[in-house]
Amino acid sequence: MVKVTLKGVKKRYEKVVACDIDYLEIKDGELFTLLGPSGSGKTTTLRIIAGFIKPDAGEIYFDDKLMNDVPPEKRNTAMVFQSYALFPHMTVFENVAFGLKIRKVPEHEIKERVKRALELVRLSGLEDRYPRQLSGGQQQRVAVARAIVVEPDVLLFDEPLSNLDAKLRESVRFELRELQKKLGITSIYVTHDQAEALVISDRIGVMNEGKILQVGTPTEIYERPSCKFVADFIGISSFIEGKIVEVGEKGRVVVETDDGLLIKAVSPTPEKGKRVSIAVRPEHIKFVSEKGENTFEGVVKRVAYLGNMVEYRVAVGEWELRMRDLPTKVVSPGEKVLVQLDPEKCIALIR
Amino acid sequence: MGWKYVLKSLGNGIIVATLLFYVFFPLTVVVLWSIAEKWYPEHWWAPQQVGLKWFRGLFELADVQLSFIQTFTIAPIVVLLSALISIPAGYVFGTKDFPGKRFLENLFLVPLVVPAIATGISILGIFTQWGLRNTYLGVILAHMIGATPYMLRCVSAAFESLDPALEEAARNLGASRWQVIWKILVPNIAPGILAGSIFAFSWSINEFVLTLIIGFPSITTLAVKIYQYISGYHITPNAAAALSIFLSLPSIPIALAMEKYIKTEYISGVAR
Repeated sequence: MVKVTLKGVKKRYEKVVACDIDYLEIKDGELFTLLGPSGSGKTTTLRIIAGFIKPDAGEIYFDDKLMNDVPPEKRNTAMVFQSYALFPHMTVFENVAFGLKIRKVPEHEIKERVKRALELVRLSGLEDRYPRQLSGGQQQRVAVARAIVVEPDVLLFDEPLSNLDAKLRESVRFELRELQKKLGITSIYVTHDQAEALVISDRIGVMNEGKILQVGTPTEIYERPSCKFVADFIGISSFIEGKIVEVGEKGRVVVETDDGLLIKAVSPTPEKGKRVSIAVRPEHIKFVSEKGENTFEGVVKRVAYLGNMVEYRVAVGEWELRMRDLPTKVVSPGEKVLVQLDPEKCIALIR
Repeated sequence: MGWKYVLKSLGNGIIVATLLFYVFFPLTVVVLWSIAEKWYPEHWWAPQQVGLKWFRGLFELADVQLSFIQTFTIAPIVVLLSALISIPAGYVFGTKDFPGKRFLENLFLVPLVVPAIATGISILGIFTQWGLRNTYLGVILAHMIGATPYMLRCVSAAFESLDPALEEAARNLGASRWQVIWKILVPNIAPGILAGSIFAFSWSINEFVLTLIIGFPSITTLAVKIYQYISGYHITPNAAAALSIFLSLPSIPIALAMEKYIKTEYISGVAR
């Protein structure tokens, strides 16, 4: 097992910065997710770690060993590809055995290890099938077996679930996480699906335009986003623009909005006079019957029935807030309401 | 139904019959010629006596035997050499993107568009200077001008249809560049190589103009030999017919195999 460290890694394609990471450390045995929209540089970063892309600058370390000049076949990483990239001319057994054959592992040991790997991904009995004879989910598991069987130092996942249908994807998430915990192999997982990232990861690095904006556990990323992009990309947030007019203890601030509302919030960068966006999650806004702390008048604009919840868009001043409530009493569009924003959960962000 | 339907069916029937006649009539004539031991003009509709005289005769002639040997020595070498060029070149065309790729690809098709006689005249001078005239090597190189573009098209189409991640997956699992080529890429493009080989092989055995210009008189492949039988002072169309049948024999199993084993995309790669 190894720790992966990136220092000052840069890669640009003509005018586009594909990867620009000052420092990133992926701990021994953890499942680290690179999360970002398409084109954010997460796959480029993964491929730099695998050795398929040479960075323009910077260093990649596995533990204390500099990997920059080590070719991909010598890095002892194993990748699960988005397309699975199973070898079409080989059976399931031969696919899984490929890495071991290349490593010149003795024949009887290959048999034993392939068998164990296929058991781990619950594919025993399909050894003699060809990839085209398998379902998408089975192919995906062959790809995982082929990667873990070589006992790599680092497991790399490049959007491995994006070709599965939604139902299957949700169950495979848990399986992958359990498998990774059982094996304890340092894993780097790339996805654009924030729900997947929250479920599967020990830590997440949110990427945009080649840069890592925030690194943290799923809870930290969701509850304490460090910037507007992160708050917007992960989960749902409403944004209210204004400037800090009062600074209290423990980052508590009062923000005056552009249209004159005074909102209590917390800020990671409490500084009087700073322009901020307040990000607030739907579950931290609620309907109340009388005026109180951080309570504002609003008008219901739109109502969407989601089954277990009802989603509302409420206009407060010139801002539109997204909130959710149980479907016990449904408020109609046009109704005047009072909404309360939890001051501890309103995050005032500079960018 | 009614007269419209009848007219339509009749029209279709005529078209099909014309096509069949167009395709099969020359073939029938060739077959008849090759087995006609006696066939006088007054009895034009069928030979009076049929037999395998012309076929037997062919094998007794030393020059025909030599033609056989030359034809079927040159063709496999042409296939082999054009494959050796096309596999690395097809890899680059099929998997990489670079400026001017389309232009280069089309450039390789130019030899197929330029009339063979024009190519022949221009290479005749060069080949004479290099001492390649009347040599096996000269004829092989001349055949490759036409055979290689076909092979290249088939092979690069095969590479193009591969998942680019296969190569990375193999490297990632520890395979060196050479291991990737032999264990992953070549087995997966084999159908493309086979399709290309068939095109290249039949190109070589059918090539006439360049073979005549470069190879004559030392190298007379079957195509040239047939021509000799129907030109000059001593015309024996029956021998020519028997020879042409022989020349087309390898095509039949090849055509069947193509139909069965090879994805149309590799073949259509040629026409693209």
